[in-house]
Amino acid sequence: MRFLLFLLIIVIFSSYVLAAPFFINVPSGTQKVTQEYPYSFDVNASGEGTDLLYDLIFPGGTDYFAIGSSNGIINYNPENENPFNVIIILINLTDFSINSTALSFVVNRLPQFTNLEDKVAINDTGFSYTIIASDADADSLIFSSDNPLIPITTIFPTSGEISLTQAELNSLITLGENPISTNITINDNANSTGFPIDGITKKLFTLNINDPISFNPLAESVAVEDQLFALNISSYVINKIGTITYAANFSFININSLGIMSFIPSHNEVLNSLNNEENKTYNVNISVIDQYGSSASQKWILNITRVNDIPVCDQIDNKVAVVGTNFVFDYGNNATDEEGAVTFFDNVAFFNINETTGSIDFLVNETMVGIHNTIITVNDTENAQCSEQFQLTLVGNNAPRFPKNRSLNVNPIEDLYVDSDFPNINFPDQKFIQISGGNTIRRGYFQFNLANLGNPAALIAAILKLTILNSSGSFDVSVHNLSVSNFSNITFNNAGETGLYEVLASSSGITNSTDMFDVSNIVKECLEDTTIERFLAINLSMRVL
Amino acid sequence: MKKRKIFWIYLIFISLLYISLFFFIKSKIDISGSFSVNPPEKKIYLTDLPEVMRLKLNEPFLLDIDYKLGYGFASNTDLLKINKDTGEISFTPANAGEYPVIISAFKDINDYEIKLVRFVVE
Repeated sequence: MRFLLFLLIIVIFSSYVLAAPFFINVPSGTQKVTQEYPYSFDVNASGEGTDLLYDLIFPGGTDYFAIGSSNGIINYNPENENPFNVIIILINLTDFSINSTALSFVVNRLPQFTNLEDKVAINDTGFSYTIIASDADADSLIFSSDNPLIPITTIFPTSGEISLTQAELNSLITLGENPISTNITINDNANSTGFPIDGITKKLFTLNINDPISFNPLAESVAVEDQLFALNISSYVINKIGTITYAANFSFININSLGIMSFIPSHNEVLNSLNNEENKTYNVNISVIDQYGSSASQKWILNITRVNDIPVCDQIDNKVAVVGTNFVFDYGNNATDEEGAVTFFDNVAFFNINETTGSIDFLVNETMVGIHNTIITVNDTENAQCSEQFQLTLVGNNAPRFPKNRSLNVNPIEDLYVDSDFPNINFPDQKFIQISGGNTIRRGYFQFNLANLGNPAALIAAILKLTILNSSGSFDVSVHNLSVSNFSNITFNNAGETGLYEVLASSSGITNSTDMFDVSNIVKECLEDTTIERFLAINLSMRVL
Repeated sequence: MKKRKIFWIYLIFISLLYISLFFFIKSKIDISGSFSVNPPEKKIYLTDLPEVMRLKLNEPFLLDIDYKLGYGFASNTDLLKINKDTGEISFTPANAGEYPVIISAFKDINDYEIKLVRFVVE
């Protein structure tokens, strides 16, 4: 009786206690796994398949894998992760009783190659290649090669070396093993530290064996000053592999990446020689190297022949001078010669240009009046020469003239007044400045009639200077399309430039009373900015024989 | 003899009834009573958490769990956010229902504590 009562109490108590689920098969402790090698476990517990639920808690906050909620299966592909912990939980959904177990995972991470890449061995010095690897777990690595023809030696802790003698390279060529490949394996030997699986990484390595680069002899060459010299160096290089680098030990010699040498020897390249020699000889060192380190070089003799350049003479504008004044003109800085000093000569009887300085300075007298075609000749030290011609007009000082340096300041917005500016000469038809158009584009026209000069045909020179000024007195306008009609023999100085314009006409262009200077469009667009007041200053002087 | 047999049958019946009532009450009745804290007025020791906590729909729920020094906190669900260092829980229930959540305080695999709390959202 008492026994049965006791048994009843035990049954009642046990029914309560046994309601909590319990593990039948579960991993425990530290699970050592290897990166990229799948880990799998089937957790079993009492009551599985009924109201039992499996779940996980990762105390570190990162979920690395899941568990089948009803079957307890764990499938985990380890990656490059730090050790972590996990709690496996059983939940009885009937009475919400729970059970748990905790375990750790340590991941053995795979070793990694640091520098393994395909190589080219040059068949003249043997081949050596140190392969470096790394291991995040600081494991010592073991290197191996699948192909015994390319053996590799482990250098602890994380390096391996492939070393082949020249004889071994030749042997590979003889065997027809060129190129030759092998799988290089690095093993972290993790099994020795308790991991069931070693971390192993493989990578294919290919070795090409090539003959060394060679450089056929270059013939002695001659280059000429100021003339292009070109030579295809690439065609002399044998057994080129990959990218080739060419170099010469003189900066003026350029060899491009295709191996084409080209340069134009300047006078400086010859100046370094003895002055009396026609040639300068360079012992040039030319080197070539391929991208795998095979190199060759040779000495190349280059002779550069000097060429004497003729002097350069700048253009000379026509000149006008008046009797009683000095004609001064310095041409010294307008003639140059690459080789050095020059001397100056002229073809005019009544003055002599200074042979050394190129300056002309003489007093004009009545006997010189006339138009003189003047030629200045410049000789260098080797009698090469240039010359320049200009028209020198010398006029008498008793000829009627316009007042010199009279300026007519014209405000372009106002009407123009001209008569009183030339009181000595009657110009019934003269119209000096006309401003037309709106406020955006202004044009100035300058016209005058030479009919009333008395003897227009006697006019030998007229100098018209037009100076365009802004209110601050500086030149700042654009002048376009300067044109002159009715005169065929007119030259312009500084045409097309901003600022001073000088028009020179000779008597040959003045033939009748209707001839006019018609300088149109000279101030085109100069007044686009109407906020700045501008003036056109006219400085007119004419000389009549 | 007959009375004794009836007694045993009666006793077995009463026992089975008791067992049934035990599990019925255990599964349906909140043994520890309702518990709702918002905002948390004080830290609640992990093992003192009630087995059932009743929450209101769409109302933020805050709870600050305490455990021994040097332990980190975690749970088995993303349903609620638990600060692994301080043990603070924030949770705004968006759906009514019952959510069993296990909260752990962990030091190492040989020293940890877990607690199952059923959040009942009404």
